[in-house]
Amino acid sequence: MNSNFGQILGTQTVDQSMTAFFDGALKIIFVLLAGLYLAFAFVVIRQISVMKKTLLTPFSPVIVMIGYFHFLLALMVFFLFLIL
Amino acid sequence: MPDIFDGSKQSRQSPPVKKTAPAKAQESRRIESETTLPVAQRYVDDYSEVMRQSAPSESLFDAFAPKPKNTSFDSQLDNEFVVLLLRKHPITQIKYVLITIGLLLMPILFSYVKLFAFLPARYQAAALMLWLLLVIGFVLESFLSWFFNCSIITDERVIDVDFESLIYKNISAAKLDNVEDITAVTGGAIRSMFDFGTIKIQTAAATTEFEFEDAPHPAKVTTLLNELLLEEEREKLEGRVN
Repeated sequence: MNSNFGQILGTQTVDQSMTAFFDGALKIIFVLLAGLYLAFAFVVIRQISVMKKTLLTPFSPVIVMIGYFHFLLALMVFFLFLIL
Repeated sequence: MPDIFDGSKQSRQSPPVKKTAPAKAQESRRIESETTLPVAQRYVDDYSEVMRQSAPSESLFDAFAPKPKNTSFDSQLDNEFVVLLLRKHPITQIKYVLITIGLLLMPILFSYVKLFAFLPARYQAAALMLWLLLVIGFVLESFLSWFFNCSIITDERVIDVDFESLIYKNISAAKLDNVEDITAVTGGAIRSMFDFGTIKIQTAAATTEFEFEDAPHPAKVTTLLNELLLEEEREKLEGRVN
């Protein structure tokens, strides 16, 4: 019985380790993906800045705001994934 | 003896846009052009039938925008007037709309086939969030690409603004004097139905060919360019060259 108990304990420990590893790997993957998207959102802001200097329209300030909002959204998702 | 252009005279300003009937607005501009503008500069309505028939564009999202209000570009000269702003015909963006709809429906499909069922619940929610973020990014990028990739025809030059990707910008400009050949190509049922096509301009400038892809009303654009070229020739003959 002691050996069975020991075997059960061991299996549970291995399972928990595997789950923790899987969780950790998933978290790293999601944080990396969110980080990449954050970099993309930053590049979009720079792109909008260049574009609105080339073609000046009354809609440019709205596009700038949309760009910043998009960046904030990406930032929020990144921090959310960090605390996930 | 033709009048020599005198730079000390009042420079041309943006023509005032009055909310009157088109005939009255054109007439008032014609009188203004005759009485206050120097001989060297004529308002585009004076020599272009296409512009006389086109009211100034008020919408911010027009693909064919004659005399667009409050629109300029970075290398625009003080006495240069934007006659026409062209973007790709909106019908060419339908494919991006369909792709967006497909991308939005994909999570529903994935949930039916339980593709990500092996993930813990909170990671499934995270994957959905990331997917929606990607869709937003795709929509934003498609809109920016359509809005800022444009062709500008002024009373002095033709300018082609191309933002081919996030980090690649190409702006070509050629004086109307250097334009040698203008061709409008409209092929296919969709292009004929919605009246859009490609306008090719051969120039003697560094960029030998300009292409205005999927531009609306290619016949009007070609006619306008011919009228602008004629006016350039007249300016040369009359000594009104800027």
